[in-house]
Amino acid sequence: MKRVVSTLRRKVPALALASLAVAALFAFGLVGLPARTGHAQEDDALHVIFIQGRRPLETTGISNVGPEGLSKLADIFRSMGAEVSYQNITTRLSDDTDVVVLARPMRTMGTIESAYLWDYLERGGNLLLALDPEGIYLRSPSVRGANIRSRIGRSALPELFDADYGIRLYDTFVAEPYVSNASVETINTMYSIAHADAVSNPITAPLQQYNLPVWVWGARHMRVEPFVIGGQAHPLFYSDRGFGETSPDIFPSGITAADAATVPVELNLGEDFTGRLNVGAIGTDLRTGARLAILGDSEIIQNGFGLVSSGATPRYPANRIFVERLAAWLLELPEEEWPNLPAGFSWVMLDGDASDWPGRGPLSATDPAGDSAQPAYDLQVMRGYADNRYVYLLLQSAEAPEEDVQVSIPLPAEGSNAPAARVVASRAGIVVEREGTTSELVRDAAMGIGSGIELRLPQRLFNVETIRVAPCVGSGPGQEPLDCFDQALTVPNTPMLAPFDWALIDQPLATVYTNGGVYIRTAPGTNASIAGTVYNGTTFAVLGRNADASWVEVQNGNFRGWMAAFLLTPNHDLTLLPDVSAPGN
Amino acid sequence: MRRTLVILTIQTLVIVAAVVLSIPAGSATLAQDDTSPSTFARLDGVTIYFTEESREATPFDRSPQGLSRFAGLLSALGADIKSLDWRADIPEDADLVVIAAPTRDIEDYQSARLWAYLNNGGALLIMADPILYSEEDGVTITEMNSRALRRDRGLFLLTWAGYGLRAREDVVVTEVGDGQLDRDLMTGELNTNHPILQGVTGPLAIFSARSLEVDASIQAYDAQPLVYSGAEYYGETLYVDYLQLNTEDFTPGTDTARGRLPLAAASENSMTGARIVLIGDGGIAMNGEGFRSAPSNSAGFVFPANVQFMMNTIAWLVGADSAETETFVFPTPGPTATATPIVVATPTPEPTPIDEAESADEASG
Repeated sequence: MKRVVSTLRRKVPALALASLAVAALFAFGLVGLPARTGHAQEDDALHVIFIQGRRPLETTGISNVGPEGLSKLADIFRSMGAEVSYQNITTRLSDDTDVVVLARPMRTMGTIESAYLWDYLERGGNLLLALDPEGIYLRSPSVRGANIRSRIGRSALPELFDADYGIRLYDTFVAEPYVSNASVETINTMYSIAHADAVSNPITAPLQQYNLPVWVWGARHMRVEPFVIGGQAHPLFYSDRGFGETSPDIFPSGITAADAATVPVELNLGEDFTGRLNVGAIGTDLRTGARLAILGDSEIIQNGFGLVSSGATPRYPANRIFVERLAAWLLELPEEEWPNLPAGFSWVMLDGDASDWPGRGPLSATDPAGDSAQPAYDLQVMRGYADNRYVYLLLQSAEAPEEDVQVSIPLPAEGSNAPAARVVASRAGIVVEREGTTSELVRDAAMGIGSGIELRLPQRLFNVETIRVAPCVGSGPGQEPLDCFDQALTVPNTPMLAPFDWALIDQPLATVYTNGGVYIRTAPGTNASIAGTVYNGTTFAVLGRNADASWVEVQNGNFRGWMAAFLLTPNHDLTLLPDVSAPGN
Repeated sequence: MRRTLVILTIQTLVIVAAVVLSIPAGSATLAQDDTSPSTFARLDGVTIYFTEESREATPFDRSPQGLSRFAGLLSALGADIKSLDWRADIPEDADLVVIAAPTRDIEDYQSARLWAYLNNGGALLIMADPILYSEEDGVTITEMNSRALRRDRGLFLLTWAGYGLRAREDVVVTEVGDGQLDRDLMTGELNTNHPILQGVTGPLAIFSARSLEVDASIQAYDAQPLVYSGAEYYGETLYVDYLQLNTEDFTPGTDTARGRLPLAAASENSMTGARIVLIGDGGIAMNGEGFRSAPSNSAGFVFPANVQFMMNTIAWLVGADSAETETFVFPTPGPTATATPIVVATPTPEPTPIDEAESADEASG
């Protein structure tokens, strides 16, 4: 009996401990589940509220299915399982709201609106703000022709976001080079490119991996602090070529001559901002769990701008990817549930790794083994294909290539008397070498070295219907090739699309605005030979102009040539560009 | 001896006269022989933040414009007094935020922080002064306190929308003849149904007040006036003009209509539990006005009802109205409050009688 009691005494604590352990495991299991810190924790449904209404803010909203509307953004949220609705910001935002979206307020963000938003954030809600530069004149009927007068910079929000999230909003317009008052008269001529910041964050990770900039249509900038007490902030996009114009009077106040801008677009040191200007940022309040995303441009998320598409194919895939991932981040979905990259595009990361190459499309060529003494330069397999802009090549040798590897690819002759030309790619860059002339840097070409060599080359370099390539590899500049493919590979054209036209980066831009196709020519003037036909919506980098700026030299992944200026909608003042038509230029 | 007594008597009379004359004419009167005990709720564990960034009256200021007596009494009841740093969220330990007579406006970002704090069940005491005094080259300049707490801007937009309280931009006055306006008043018009006014027996001394707008209709909040002016008062919106011209009349349509004007009000939001008290007078708790004592720097409060009112206000705001209490017996204000030293005349040494002849002998000897 004594033994039984003593056993029980020993077992009771053991049973209790076991029960505790089971309970702890159960609790741990519960805790281990992905928990959303937003408001609607007790309700499984995700709720997204768009702030819209003519008064007090006159924001754009989901009821607008036109170019300025946000109906496509609402669809993105719905595709992720969220219930989407809208309300005005005249009452307290509900506790069961997971995400609030407030885009393009036209009117003053006053005390009440700021306080309502802040109160919502302080309760752990997530907020997407898309705020255009102060003063932009919108001609659209939906706003009956008006300037944006949100006065965000004077509201409570910059101070609060700065203190708790490390994001400081400024009332600026990020003016790209060659911008004049004429080029900021309408939103359609304010397009430009912003680069994904190198600071890693899950939202822009694919944009960093594929070097994809996003399109913006007139942006304000914000300062993003890396270290914040109780908060975290990440920059999303930046522009570092222009400056932050602080005067809202650079914009017209109407469409008549009397409404013209009163202040020129120009850099005023001490007033305007220079350097790397962030045009988007995300922040987290570590205390409340609230997530804040601020875009310095509302067009990024509007139907007819950043989210414009042809069927299921987005015109600006980087914008689409960004917006989808931003929506998923705001909804606090686990990353494995975030949308995939849109189909139909060349998603090839230029890292020298074949794993992300399309499965069946690209053809391959082989080269005999052992025809180079050095295995790292002993070419064996080549794969390649072309999308609508670029040629992609993957070269694999007997061993992983050395870092100093140089690839040279002979280019087709441009004419019977034209000098022989070749593309030379190395870590230092990719250039076109022509006999008797200096090398020309190919800005939009790229190379990746890993277990193999990946190359992206613009189609305009080949300028032929059927592209054939026979690359050679060597160990560095000035060295004889160590191995070449004996047979050229005929690069197959595929229906895939380039996710971006990298020829446009860091250049003044112009977009074809016409019905049907128009010619691009080899020289200014209609007597020059035709280099190709381009269609409405095609965007080019503008390299220069002729004397009276009636013709401009343009370039994209497919073409380089001249176009009549009246066919183009430039994002800058063409007359400010250099005259490259004169001899010697 | 007699001369000394005469001097002491004159000194006493001068002190008494000074105390009496220092009370605004025609209004507050010295509380006489108020030795009844005052009972206040204990505030142990309560943390009260005072704002200072808008040049408010501060709890650490011992001047007549300061709140050191008010804050000292709160501290004596167990409250922890701190200054609010607006650069971060209002701390989670804040049981109450006090905005006392700011002379610059509360910034929008500060209003937003307050709003979030209130929606989280916070409590706010606002004392809004209508008059701003400043000194320039030795000359005191009186002007409307128009840069702080505007009726239709900033913080009052929020308190009006969410709590049914805001202050008008006027000065509660009444005519006293010859176009003269009196802005100081003693009022016993109290809403004794409200817990704050429980135990407040005497009249309150008000030293220039803004009239309040109180939306007491059925809302998600319960807003109630606490203190009213007399029916003869109206809200003068051009008080500075009166000071310059020395004459002013009630202007219908511009001035606030005559009647019992709310001077203090309380509101509680039933959804969030937040509580706000708005008082149209910043001086009600200042050392030199509502918390004046006689002699100065003593506990002999001249207006003990003000003290009771303010302590009850704090207790209600922080939810300590049913908590443990503490009773104080404040000395009767006035010169008798301080123990007057009993002056004992130093005895003059009596000359020792000396025999004259003997003295002469010594002299001659």
